[in-house]
Amino acid sequence: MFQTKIASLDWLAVATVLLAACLLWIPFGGRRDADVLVITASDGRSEYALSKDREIEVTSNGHRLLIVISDGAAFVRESDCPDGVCVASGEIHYAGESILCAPAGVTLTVQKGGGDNVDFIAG
Amino acid sequence: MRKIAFLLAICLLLSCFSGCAKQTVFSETFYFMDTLIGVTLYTPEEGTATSAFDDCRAILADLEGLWARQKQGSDVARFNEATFELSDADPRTVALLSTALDVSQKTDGAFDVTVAPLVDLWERCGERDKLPTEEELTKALNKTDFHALAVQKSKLFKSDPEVAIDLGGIGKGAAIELLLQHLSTLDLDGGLLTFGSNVAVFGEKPNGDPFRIGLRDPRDAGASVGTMRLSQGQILSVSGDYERYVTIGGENYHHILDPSTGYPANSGLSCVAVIASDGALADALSTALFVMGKDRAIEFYHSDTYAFEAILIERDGTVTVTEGWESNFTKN
Repeated sequence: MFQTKIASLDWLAVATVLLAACLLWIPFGGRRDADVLVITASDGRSEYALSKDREIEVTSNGHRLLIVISDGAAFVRESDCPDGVCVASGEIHYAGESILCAPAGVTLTVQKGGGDNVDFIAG
Repeated sequence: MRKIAFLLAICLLLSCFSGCAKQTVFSETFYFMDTLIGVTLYTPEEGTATSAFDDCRAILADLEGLWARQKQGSDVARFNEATFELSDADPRTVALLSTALDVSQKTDGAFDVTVAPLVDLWERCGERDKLPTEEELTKALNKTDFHALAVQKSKLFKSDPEVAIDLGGIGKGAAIELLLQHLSTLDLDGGLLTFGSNVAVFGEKPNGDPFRIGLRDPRDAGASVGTMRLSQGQILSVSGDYERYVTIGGENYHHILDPSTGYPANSGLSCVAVIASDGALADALSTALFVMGKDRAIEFYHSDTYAFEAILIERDGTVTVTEGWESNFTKN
């Protein structure tokens, strides 16, 4: 029977390799991004992590919207647009859900990070 | 042994970097036909995704130019303005009108593509914050009649000049299928398309998992009533009484109109999801079943008029899933 004796230096080499692999896996292969809120307005596009509560003021096409991110959801708290549909739309949580403010030309869309178990909520 | 360790190192390092290459999800949002469209693509090549997004933008602009009722020069606008016929409609418009007419006939008008006068009336009512009068309703109902339409080869006909079509209940489903057909021909690994409340997928996700789509709880925008697996060839279309509405006297009147009464459908349902291989059919049937109500909808399903599956949510929250979809839908 053939037997291989593993020297301590070999174990050190294997451990070094595994450590290097783990360190590389974390930033590249193992990333699980939080979902993000993508806001598109007349002056461009911006992204915010849904994991951090904040208030965002957006001015677009002469209208002002106050967008709130709270407890992993986003909603339009205030808008001076004429119909107020965006405020009435309520909260969005899941990847693919959107709120549109047509008069202001503003869209809010949740884009998928790495942790959801559904790809989209339809309806 | 050092050689083995070295080889192991190389394999692990390579696997890490191949993991990097698999982070290949690209998303873009478009706004056409008064609707948000989301396109998520899986491909290792950013250039392929960018080019595909450009294609989507062009296809959507093209379809909006054909089917938007308010767009001057569109096929729909020209047909609505025509006295009796439109002889140079785009083949995609002709095909869509053929499907619309077929569904209108087979659902006994529960879906009616000539609902435009009623849609306009309720929009005006929302603007003036006043319900329609009986006279206004009667006038709009008299112009709502799919029997006045005909499609022959490449021509669209109507027997009454005042009849007007609205593709709001079918156009988005047709559009998502046309997008899907194009994207399926490109060198993409897979993707997820959402067109308002229509959803379609193709290919595979990077991790090989099936696409999982939640169905929104009609009474809680932050919750879902269940989850389904969706595969290529299955297009999901959802009609709900919470999607679009006008507010009159502080009360919301939803946009799914019953062509037999002229009022928003009061069938006891608050949401209908239909799954079919034909996007236009799924879209039109979700409206038709909503108008029919649960019992008629289930009877229609069993008539085998069309191949489809459905999920019906009643106002009290009761969820009914058709037999062919039960194993594919997990209630929460």
